[in-house]
Amino acid sequence: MKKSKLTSVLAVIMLILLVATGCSSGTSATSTPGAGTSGAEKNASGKLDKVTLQLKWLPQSQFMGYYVAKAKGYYKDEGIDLEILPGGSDIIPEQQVYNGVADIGVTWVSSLMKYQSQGWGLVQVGQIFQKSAMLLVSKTSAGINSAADLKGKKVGSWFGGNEYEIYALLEANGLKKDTDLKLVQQDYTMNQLLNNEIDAASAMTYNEYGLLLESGLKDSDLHVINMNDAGVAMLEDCLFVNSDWIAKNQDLYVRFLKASIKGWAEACADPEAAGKVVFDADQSVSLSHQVYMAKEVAKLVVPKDFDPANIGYIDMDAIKQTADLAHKYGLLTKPAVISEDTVTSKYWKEATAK
Amino acid sequence: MKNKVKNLLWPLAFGIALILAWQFGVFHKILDLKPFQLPVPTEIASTLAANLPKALKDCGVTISGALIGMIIGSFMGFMIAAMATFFPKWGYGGMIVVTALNAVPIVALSPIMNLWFSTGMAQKIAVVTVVCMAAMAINAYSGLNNLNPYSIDLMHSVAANKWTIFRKLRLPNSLPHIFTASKINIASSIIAAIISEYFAASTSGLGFGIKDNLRKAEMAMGWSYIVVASLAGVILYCIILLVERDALKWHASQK
Amino acid sequence: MNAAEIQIKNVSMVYPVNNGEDILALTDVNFDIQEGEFISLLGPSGCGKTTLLRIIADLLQPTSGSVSIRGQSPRDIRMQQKYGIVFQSPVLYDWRTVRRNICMPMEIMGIPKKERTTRITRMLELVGLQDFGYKYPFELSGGMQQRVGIARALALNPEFLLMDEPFSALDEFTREKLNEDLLSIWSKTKKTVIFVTHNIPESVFLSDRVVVLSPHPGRISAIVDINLPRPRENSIRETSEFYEYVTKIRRSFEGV
Repeated sequence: MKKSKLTSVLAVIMLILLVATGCSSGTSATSTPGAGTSGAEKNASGKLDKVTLQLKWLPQSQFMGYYVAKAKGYYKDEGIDLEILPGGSDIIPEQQVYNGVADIGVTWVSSLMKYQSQGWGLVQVGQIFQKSAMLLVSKTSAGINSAADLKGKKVGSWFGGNEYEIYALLEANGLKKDTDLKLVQQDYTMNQLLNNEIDAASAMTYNEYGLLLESGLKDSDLHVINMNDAGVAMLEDCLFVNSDWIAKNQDLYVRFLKASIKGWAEACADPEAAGKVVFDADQSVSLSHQVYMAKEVAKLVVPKDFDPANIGYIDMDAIKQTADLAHKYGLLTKPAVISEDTVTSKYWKEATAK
Repeated sequence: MKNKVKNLLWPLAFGIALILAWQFGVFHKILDLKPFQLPVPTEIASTLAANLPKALKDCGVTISGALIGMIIGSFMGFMIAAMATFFPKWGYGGMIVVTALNAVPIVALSPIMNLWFSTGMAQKIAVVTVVCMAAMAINAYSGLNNLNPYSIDLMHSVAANKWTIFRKLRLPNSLPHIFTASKINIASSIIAAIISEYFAASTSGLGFGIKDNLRKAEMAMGWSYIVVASLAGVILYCIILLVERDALKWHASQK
Repeated sequence: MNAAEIQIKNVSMVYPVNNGEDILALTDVNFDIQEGEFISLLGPSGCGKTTLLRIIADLLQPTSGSVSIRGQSPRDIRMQQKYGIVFQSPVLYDWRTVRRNICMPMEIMGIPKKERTTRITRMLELVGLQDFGYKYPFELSGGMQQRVGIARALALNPEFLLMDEPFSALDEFTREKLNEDLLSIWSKTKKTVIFVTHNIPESVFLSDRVVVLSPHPGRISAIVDINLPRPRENSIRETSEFYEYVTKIRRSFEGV
């Protein structure tokens, strides 16, 4: 009996450990030496300041501005040695930045708001994507011509915070997410849609939609619901930092932002070349897909009638819409607190001042 | 009786001490964590209480998938062991295949099963089935074949045929091994079901609840699912122990 | 003159060994056993006495030579379920109670349930375990377990009772008690018994004839008729005739 008791205790511990490691928890905090708040333009000793940037996802043209700026030496010009950390399905930028694994992070605004509302000391300091790239894509054969047609269908989402635009879309069209249709977890390929296992799939304009085209489907084979058109867009890729870190590294961040804006402007002006730069840095996907993505991302960073000089601009109306939708559809239990402590244009103004 | 109470009291006291240390921030101090990174027990408990109906429903989804997969996997594992016993020449090939399958990690197995099956439940059952097959096959095979010396001679001496030997000797002889495999499988089936839900095309189950909530910074909710998963594992394990105690009265280990 | 019940002709047994030096377990063994005879196969370990018993029981095939029982092969006799075997260890099935262990071979032989129950009760009394019928093997001492093994073989009422050192693991007192019991049971049934032992007094006490085997290679070195009167009781061990037989057999070993 004694032995089996021990086995049972071990089994339980194993279970807990395995379950708990399903989420990656960060390592302990480390302090990063920065340039300080003295306002010194460059490091006096001539040595570069180390900065790490945590991406939301794998190295790809979604982040081309940073890759172009790095390749062209714009960070070096600002006295920065930038290290880019790739993301992944188990890497949560908010946790990485909070724990000090990275100094600056790229994440979606709604996700950042969630962490902020839970008490994590993080602050948004730039907005790269001005538009939402989220689509709901279906084959025309499924007959989903408008959001209302989603009734009774099987709809894919990546969840983990990516589901709220869909919730908003459904509610705006009078559909109940739990009863009127079936939401399923989608993997990071588009196979479920291609194999007709689901009727509509989440897709980013710059990535998954391109995968569908590469698989041989044409624009005319697909029907798309665009969150911007549906009025339920939530902001995506933004820049954020740990509040404690920025207090000590204001100047360093401004220099980082300056170089990044330069990189983004150049990338958006010539996405083809930017795609090549990203491909050279990381060949995880094909060159043609990187170039496709670069072209689509450029449309999000510098939309029509948007001055490229304003890259990184934080549109407070869009922020409010994101916050309102996040609260209304249940991501946030109480309204987001929008203040200088949670989202600030201070550094962007400094970086873009002539 | 007094001893039994004592045996129970110590682990219980230790567990309570751990929970108290957790509640009053000892672990947070040691690991340098904020309460929003590691929620305290009372917060987890109140979150769980508020979410109980959904948590139980998710628990039901995971456990039913785990149990169905475990039953199918254990049955298949046993059949493979029986084949290898009845037809040693070619039947042992199945044992080799199943042992090799055993080495495939669950995280690799899940996406493969997602390609083969389209509903979350089927994916989960498939992953659990594969995971449970090997432990049962290996244990059952040793139970069916590690016989006391002469016990087969005794059967032969009265001209018992293969089937009679299987039924009256090999099968009961393998029972303790089958329980050993079941105890291994009950834990691994829940783990496999949960990990499968991380990837599955479904939004129900404990695994989805853990992954999704931890990603969304709903730490207390995520932990409440972890607690439910652990409790379910412990309860199922205890049920197996009770069944085993009843079924193996004759076994020296049950004295 | 009746034909012998069991004829063992030129039986040899070779165990192949990896290094090429095969082990000669038995070479050219010849002897007959009469119906109703109590025969002991006696010898030190390695003399092939257990091997010979297993060949007679059709649990081993001889390398050469043959065993004929009433004109049939050991396999025929085995398939007719005419053997009862007691092994060196009790070979009880842990998951069965004492009664159901005794019952097991009878189930396979298809003996009716009522008859089985009667025989079990009788056999338990015979081996003095009437109070232990519903115990599991792990609740019994080694001596008790071995008595269950004997009861199980006797319950079959076999034509041929083969016993492979059944008492070797028991203490001297238990052994002598069981020797006496065995004889009293045998005297009632008068079945043919082949009894393997390495204990000289035991073989003298029990047997009509003692086949003495010597090792390396295993062969018969002597066959000794024991002309002690029956029924025998333990007091016979104190007689000079008994002592002479023991001495004679012991000398036959020293001569080797």
